[in-house]
Amino acid sequence: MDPFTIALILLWAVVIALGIVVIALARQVGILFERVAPMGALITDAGPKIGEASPKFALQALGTGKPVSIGAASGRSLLIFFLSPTCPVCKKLLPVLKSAQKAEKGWLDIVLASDGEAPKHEAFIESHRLDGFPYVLSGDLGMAYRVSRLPYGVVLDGEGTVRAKGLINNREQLESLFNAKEMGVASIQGFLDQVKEA
Amino acid sequence: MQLDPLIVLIASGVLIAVFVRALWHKLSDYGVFKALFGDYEIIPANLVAPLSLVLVLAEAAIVIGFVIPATRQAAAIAAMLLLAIYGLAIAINLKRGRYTIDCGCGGSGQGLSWFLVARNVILIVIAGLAFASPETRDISLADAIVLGLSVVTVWLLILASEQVAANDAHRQFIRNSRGKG
Repeated sequence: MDPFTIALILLWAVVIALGIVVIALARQVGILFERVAPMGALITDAGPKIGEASPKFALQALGTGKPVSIGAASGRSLLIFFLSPTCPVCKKLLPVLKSAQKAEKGWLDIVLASDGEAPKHEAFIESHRLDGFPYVLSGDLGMAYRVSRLPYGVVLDGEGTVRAKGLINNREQLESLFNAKEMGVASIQGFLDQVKEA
Repeated sequence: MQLDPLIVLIASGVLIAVFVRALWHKLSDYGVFKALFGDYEIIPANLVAPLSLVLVLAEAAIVIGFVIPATRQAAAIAAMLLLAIYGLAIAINLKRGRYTIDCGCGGSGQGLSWFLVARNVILIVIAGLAFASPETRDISLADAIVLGLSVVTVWLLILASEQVAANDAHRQFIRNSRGKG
């Protein structure tokens, strides 16, 4: 093989390697954007503010009928995950929720919230094996949090204070809600303020 | 216009890759595609369902057209038209001040950016190259290898450009959200 051919082969190999590196870099930048200023927090800032006490609800779980209390001081944090049986992104997140429930069970409870007529939700719980989660139907809960787009998550701490909320499209965004809660009120307000100054 | 056959082949390969990917996105979530198409607000709502089907069929036809040598030039023209229409739809919405398209069915929507419009312009130029008549020369194994490597490289660039476009839309969104919340 003459040197020219070797040089060409090497060049192609380098070009393809660079293409892969560029994809990885672009992906990293995307994740950074998501960490610093999650789309969800930017789109929806209505409803109870971070640091405010959650409105209180005493609801009943679908199927089991067990009481589900939202906003009470329970000592454990609560993730309210708003979804709907007809929301494809919500369905994609169900495995992520199930693994988060296992991983975070030391400090976090998860409640699924929706509204409408019971039968289609019962079928949904059955078909997607959601019996491990309390599932509540409450139009008032959705309205209290001004939930207009799904999937939407709200994290309350052990005292029932709102610590994080926003749209959730993927695992990273769910985890960023948990991070915001851990880091405290300042972080969500902080990054929104930083975003304003940027 | 006459071009080296390898250039015509690579240009065709690029467009096949682009439209296969676009078709895959549409077919894997057809309901979401229809809802997004409607949200562009370019055509009346009652035409969204039939036109969605037309677009899917048009893209499939373009892919097949490029694969069969006899229909390559027709496919190139169709590709240029479709790319121009898509670019225009994005540009119109950007001018309206919209930076995301929402399917209303979950998720934060599809990001729009001028980067996407620029990318379509480049693809239209490439479709122009695919339209050209190939000069007559023998195609060798070396040409086939270069063709394969080029298409792989372009595929990587397509994936990277999608992420860059999404980042750009997110950045735009942050800028427009300043002062709110």
